[in-house]
Amino acid sequence: MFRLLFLSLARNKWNLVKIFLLSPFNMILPPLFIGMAISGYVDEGTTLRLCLWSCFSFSIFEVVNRRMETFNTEKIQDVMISATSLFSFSFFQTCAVNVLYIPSLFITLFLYNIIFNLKIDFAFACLCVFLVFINNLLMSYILLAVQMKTPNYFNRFNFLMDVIYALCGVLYPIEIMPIFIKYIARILPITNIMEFSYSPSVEITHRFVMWVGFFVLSFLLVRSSKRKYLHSGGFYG
Amino acid sequence: MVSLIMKDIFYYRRNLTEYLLSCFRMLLFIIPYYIYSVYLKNTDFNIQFAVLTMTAVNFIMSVIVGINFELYREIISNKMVQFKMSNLSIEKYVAAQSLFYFFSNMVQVVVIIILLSLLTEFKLKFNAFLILRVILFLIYLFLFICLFGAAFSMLTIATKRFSFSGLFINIIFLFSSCYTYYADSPKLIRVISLISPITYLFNLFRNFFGLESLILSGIFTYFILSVQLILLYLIFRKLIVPKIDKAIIDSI
Repeated sequence: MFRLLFLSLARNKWNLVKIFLLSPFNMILPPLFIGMAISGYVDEGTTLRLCLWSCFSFSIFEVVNRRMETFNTEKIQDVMISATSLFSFSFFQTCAVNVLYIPSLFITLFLYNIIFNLKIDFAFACLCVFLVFINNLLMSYILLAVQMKTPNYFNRFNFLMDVIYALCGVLYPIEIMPIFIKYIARILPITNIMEFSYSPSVEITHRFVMWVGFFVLSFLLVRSSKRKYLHSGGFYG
Repeated sequence: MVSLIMKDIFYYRRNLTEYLLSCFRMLLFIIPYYIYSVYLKNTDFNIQFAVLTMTAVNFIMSVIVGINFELYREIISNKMVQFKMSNLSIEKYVAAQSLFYFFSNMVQVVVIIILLSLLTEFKLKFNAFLILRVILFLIYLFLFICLFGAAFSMLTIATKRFSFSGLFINIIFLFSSCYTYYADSPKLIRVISLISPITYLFNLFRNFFGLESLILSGIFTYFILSVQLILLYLIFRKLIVPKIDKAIIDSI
């Protein structure tokens, strides 16, 4: 199944253009240039975080986009009546998208490391990328639950991504934000990755428990949404 | 053209939440850059540079993506047949959509500038000459947005995805010294950006607020922009319009 989903993604030349030519520039260079114009330098931490954000944002956008096509053409019903569970379909779809985006992220990181003469720790970057992958799986499940409710949530999704971008601390540490916003931001899984990239020594045990809790919650949400979807014969929102 | 604009107005009147979300998104887009500039170097000059640059970027991008979003919607709902039957050319279609998105997004830019003037101190002197310059600038900006929007519609038709127009225009921004001061850009980008009209538009925009000196004198900048406008229009008319027409017929 992974192979099928991967090939359907890779055979579209525009997808490859987006992954390997557009994503390395689009979300990373503008803030880097703005930062350079203000402070006069580019730092490795911001570059790494922007690359991680770019990978998260582009891959989750792609997952949502592809899944929207599956839902709107009612192909999702074929998945539901087949032996494949909705969970494994979503899992393999997210993996297929990430398998393409993660190499692009490393190539981008490597190129910026040379261009801006940075000293990026690639072992640490690998660890962060692994966490982003887990985060993408989590987000993918949560969005799957929403997707079964309403067919048209693209605007709300974009809005949500903008809110996450402002809160998660890609460009600045969340410590500079007011206390109540800081607590809201910490609920977001991606914020934990960004905080980890600022200081790897942050307390991770309770965050690990939180992530497990999120996975359990997302599984329950998907199960409940699926039941409602089947019950009403389509979108139930 | 009027009926197309009315169609957009009534669509967003029916889907007011969608419109309000898109309005609020522009403000939301600016917030991280505002905090970022405060975090890096808390001076009015830097905050204004970051916020105004990103506002202009978001404005142009929103209008171009808006045009292409409408076109994409017409294509997937097979409405291009009706436009072909009523002899509505792609230029008129794009001009109508540009007009709607230009003014609906302009409101948000004005709100951002007002908010910024409350948070920081502008070195802006209002007089009749400035208002004239702003009007002239807006006319040029509108014409270029129309042309870019129309050129990118080719991409929307080819890719069947409207978001690509936003991604590609960002590449043009990067090579037009939009995110840095022209004088501080790398040498290669400085040379390339001289052929891009976006460079001059951003330069003029930042110059209004006293953030950047003009690359060329005012009159010469507008002269170059006029030449580029005519050249781009000719390229568009002779090369792109026939391809778009063919692509629309193929999509039908």
